[in-house]
Amino acid sequence: MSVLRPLDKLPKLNTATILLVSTEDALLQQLADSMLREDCASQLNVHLAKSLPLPSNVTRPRIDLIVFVVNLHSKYSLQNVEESLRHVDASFFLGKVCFLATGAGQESRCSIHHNTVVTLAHTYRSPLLFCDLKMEDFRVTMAQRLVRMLQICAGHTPGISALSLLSLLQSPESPSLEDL
Amino acid sequence: MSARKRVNSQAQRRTSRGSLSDQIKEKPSYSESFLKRGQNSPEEDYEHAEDTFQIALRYFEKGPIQTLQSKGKIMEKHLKTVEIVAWKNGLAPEEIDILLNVALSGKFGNAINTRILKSLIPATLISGDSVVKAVSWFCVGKCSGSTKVLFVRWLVAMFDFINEKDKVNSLYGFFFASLQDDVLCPYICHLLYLLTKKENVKPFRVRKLLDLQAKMGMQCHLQALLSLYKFFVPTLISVSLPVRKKIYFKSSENLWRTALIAVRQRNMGPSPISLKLMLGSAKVRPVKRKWTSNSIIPVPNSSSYGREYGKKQMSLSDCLSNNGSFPLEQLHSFHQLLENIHCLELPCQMGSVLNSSLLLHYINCVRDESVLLRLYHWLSQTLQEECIWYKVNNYEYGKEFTNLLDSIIRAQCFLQEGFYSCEAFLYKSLPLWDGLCCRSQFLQLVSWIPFSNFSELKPLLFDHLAHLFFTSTIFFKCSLLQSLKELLQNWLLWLSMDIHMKPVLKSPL
Repeated sequence: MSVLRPLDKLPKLNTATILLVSTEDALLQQLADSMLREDCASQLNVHLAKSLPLPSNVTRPRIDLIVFVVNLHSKYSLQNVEESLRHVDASFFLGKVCFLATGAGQESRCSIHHNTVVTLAHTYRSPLLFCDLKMEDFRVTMAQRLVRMLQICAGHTPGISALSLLSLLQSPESPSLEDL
Repeated sequence: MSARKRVNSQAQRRTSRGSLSDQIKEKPSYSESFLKRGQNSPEEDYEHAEDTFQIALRYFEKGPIQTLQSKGKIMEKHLKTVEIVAWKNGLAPEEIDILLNVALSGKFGNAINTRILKSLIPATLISGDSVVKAVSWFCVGKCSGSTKVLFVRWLVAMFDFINEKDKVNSLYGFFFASLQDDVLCPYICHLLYLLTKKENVKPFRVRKLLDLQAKMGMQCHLQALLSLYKFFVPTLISVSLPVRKKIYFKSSENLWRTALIAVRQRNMGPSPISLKLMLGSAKVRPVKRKWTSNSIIPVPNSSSYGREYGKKQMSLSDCLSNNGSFPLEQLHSFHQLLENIHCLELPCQMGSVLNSSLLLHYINCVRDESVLLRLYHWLSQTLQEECIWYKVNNYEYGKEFTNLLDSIIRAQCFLQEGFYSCEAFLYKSLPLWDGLCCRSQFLQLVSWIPFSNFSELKPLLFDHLAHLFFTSTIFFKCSLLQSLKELLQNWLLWLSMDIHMKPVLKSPL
């Protein structure tokens, strides 16, 4: 199973599964903990991976949302995300992928330009969220927001689908901040 | 360190200054005082540090006299002392005066000058005279290009702390001439941006600037200065400049940022003058809110008042320059404001305007662009520096930041208009906002965004808000809708005002 596909498995009853991909192990673990602490009507599964493809000899439930976490302080984390993206099926990008950039606050320490991630997210037609995962308060709010998105992506929120959420979040080419 | 202790120590220093030359002879091994520090009581420690600091100051003032071998070591020691004292307590105006002279006179090498300049952190204020003296060294041609650059950057960073800005402004022509230096140009532009008043804008300067721009292309710093000039004399400049560009100078280039925050916090200690002013303006305030002194927003104080109080005798130039201006410290009531509105002297630090309802009245009546520009500049710097998600591990500053935002919002409500710097700050930080911290403040700032095109606002504002809106709680959604409704109301108000304003504006044409 080299390429991840969204619909090659049947969904389990009342279960939503999220896959977090990043090289930042510690941050991912903390984010996953915060997500599991949220009370949510459906049963939550959080899978962590350093990179894609995932090993094929394990059985896992259907994945409803993939979050690629990019640490703006490390070029390696961006490279890793770019590599991993090749192992994701195109139909996933119909609302079931999301990018999360961390560390945008301390501009002096950023080795990746803000615009690079913006273009990346735009190329893959997926929403981009910013959050400083090192700060607990910000992490908790981000976890809440991700859980809400996941419930929509898993189809547990009546009246809205992953694709319609995507079309709401999609923004046309936005100007860079330098033109402000 | 409290302000009072500082004053005491300064007084001590002044009394001991006469016998300094003796002390140098008596204590050839002052380094021992450093070694012994652990056993001494804290006060003694402090005195020792002060002594060694004074010796270091004398040393730099006299210039290198020792033989070459011992020179390096002793100088290193003195430099260390100066650096430690500067970062810990800041330097008094007269100490800054001495060190500035040393750094720019070229007595020592480049590396030493750089280190001295980097440690020039004011304890309270910097006198305008020392700046004038320092600039005069430029003409002698003894300081290198890099020292000049560093000095101008220092001036820009410390601009708010310079006491008599009129004196610095009298050097406007000199600074302007330095624009030709390619290396200095960006920093000089920034300085001129801060310094320019309406009377500084002359046709020949406009021509020179346009020439420069034609030669060097659309440089960010030149654009900033040009847009400022265009603001003052729109008829002289026909070049089209980007309207939406509001961040011209990056604050990340400020080498003294952390030191400045410390200075600001130190300066917040209550002084009798500011206390009086707070009582005075509190009477005028319709809502008697308990006044919490905010560390970020400085208290208003004007330049000449302290000077006149401190010295009985005024020099001739003081008399000449003092054209009957009214110092802020004496302003206590609305009545006084009305009587002196034509000759009010503006505060050194524009941020202080935010907390004083009298000064807000003043800003509202006197539509002086340079006042607003100074306020906007101060605001955008401060917002960027204080915003919590730009500095990790400083979460305890959250409360201060909220206070700052609250007073900005109060000022905006008072003036019934949004500040441009807040708008720029919002556009920059909304993508990073989590929708929770300072929620009510941020949403109120949103409702004060100045009126503009929807197509311009959409990518900057609404797209980011949409991300938050669709992934947040019902409560957030409702409060966001509420603030957008207020935004619409404010826009309607402005538009209705515009309809009344337009005939008035057009009639003289």
